[in-house]
Amino acid sequence: MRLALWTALRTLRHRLGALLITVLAVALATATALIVPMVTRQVERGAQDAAQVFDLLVTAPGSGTQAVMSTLFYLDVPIGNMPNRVYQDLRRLPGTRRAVPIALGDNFAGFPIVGTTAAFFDQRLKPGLPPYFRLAQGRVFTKEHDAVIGARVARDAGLQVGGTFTGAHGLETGPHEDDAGHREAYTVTGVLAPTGGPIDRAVLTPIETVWEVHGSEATQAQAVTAVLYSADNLAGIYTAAQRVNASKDAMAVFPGQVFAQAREVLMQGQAAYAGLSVLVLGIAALTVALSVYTSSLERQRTVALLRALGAGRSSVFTLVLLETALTVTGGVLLGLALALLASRVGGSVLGAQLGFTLAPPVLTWALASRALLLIPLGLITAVPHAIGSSRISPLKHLS
Amino acid sequence: MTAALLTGEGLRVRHAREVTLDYPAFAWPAGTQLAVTGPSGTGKTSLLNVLAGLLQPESGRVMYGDLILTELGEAQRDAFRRRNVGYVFQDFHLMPGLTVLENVELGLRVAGTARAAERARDALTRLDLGGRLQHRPAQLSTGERQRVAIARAVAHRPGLLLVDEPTAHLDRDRAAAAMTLLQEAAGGLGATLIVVTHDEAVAASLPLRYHVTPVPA
Repeated sequence: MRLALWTALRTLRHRLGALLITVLAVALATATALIVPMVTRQVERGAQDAAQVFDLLVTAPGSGTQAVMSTLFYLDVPIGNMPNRVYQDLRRLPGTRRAVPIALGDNFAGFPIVGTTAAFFDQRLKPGLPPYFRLAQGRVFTKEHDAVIGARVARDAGLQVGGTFTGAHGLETGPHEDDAGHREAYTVTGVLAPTGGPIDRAVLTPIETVWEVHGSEATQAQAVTAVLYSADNLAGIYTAAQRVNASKDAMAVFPGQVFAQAREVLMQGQAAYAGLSVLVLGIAALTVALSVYTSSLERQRTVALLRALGAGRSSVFTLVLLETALTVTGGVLLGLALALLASRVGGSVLGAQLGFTLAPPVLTWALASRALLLIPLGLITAVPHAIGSSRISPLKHLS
Repeated sequence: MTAALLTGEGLRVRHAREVTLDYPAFAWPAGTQLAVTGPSGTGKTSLLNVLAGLLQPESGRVMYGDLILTELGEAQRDAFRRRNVGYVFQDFHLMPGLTVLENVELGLRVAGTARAAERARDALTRLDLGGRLQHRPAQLSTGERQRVAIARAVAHRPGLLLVDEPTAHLDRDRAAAAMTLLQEAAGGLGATLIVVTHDEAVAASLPLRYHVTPVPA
């Protein structure tokens, strides 16, 4: 074994060019097979937390996905506003634990200004757990034009408690016709601790502020974009959902359910990608087989010499398998490192676009085993060559 | 390794060209230095290969001390070769991807010798190649390549040193120097030296001669 390893390392060094090509082919195939599943899992984990914190979402009737994407993730335009009575009805419903109104429509430097109430800060992942949103600095807003800002807003805008800023109409940056009425300053009263979710890039203000800046009609109508609803028990949530869905003014969706549907669509795409990954890994296995074949031609004289010097067949057999194992293992390990690196970079780019701070990529055993499968596969392709090499006659190649 | 009496009787080898060759019986005491001579195609190199355990004769018996070489299985002959035989091939057969030092180290590693790198360095230094350790074979002259091949053959101290046409690629002066080197190396080890040659001067430089004549069976 030591002789085979010593010889394998030196013969691989001699074929460095061909070795690098094979290692790179295996590494790229490995990385290609792993990057998308790894990034998808990062997004899933980020989105799952953001969706789970809200039991029931009530918005104007329309698409459930749009409702979740606009009011929970701030990635789409809201469907529209609902009459204030929808919120009042939910608030008064027996068994209600919390009904939090949301009013959207303005932004600060591209960050959505979310009108809500102090109850927003009392939301929890589970009843026994502490509030999901935690203040890192300052206090919750108490009066109009107070603002609690997300961690990313504070970081990007360089704002702290006591700082002031001016909002603009619309959910995106750029000049708007009626911006003249939106020049009133907001004062930062608190900064939220980072959550990794969309709230990091939100500006939270009393809902009355949003109504007030949109003029007297809005102040009078007190329309809301959404209500985040929570009941004392599951039955209460379903009762509220049925009640809302029975009316024409609003629609109730379960964020977790919408997320699961989106995940299902994502999974279908993933299944297609998994098929493609198998194909890519198959091509990598063929590259290994080709490399073993070409190197076996070059190897004949080496093997003949080893046999002439007295090396046994088993040493030659081991040499061929070791060369293959070292090549494929090197490629797979490089591929795993590439996949982790690319997922980290890709995850942060995607996270910036989606508004999440994605968790670091995790290479699960299930994913890694897909790539590690290449090692036994490569060894299997090398076995016939190893047998052939061990049968080489020294006299044939050294005479 | 200690050299031993080498004997052969009734040896018949089927040549690659479908010619069967018979060899006269021989008995060479340990430390013998002799030339194997004869016209081309009479099986001189085949005899070396039989003595190295690389080729099985069709019939006959070769003994090295108490060991009946011709009755050993392949794995046993491999073991015999790595322990007892040093072989200098006509074309040297150095591995182009290895350095000079590694080429000699390879032979020692195959033989299972401890401190292979250190012993390879010693063997090469003794053959005046101490300054060429990290060179590749392609960077050496023909004479230097032959000395590396000799170093590889003697580094594990074999009892039997087999040399095939050592002067084929050398001019007269270098051929004489190579023969002196081989004789000194074998003498230093107490090894039996068997040199296949068609060069009369080389044969004359060795005390004994074994002449193979073309006697097709």
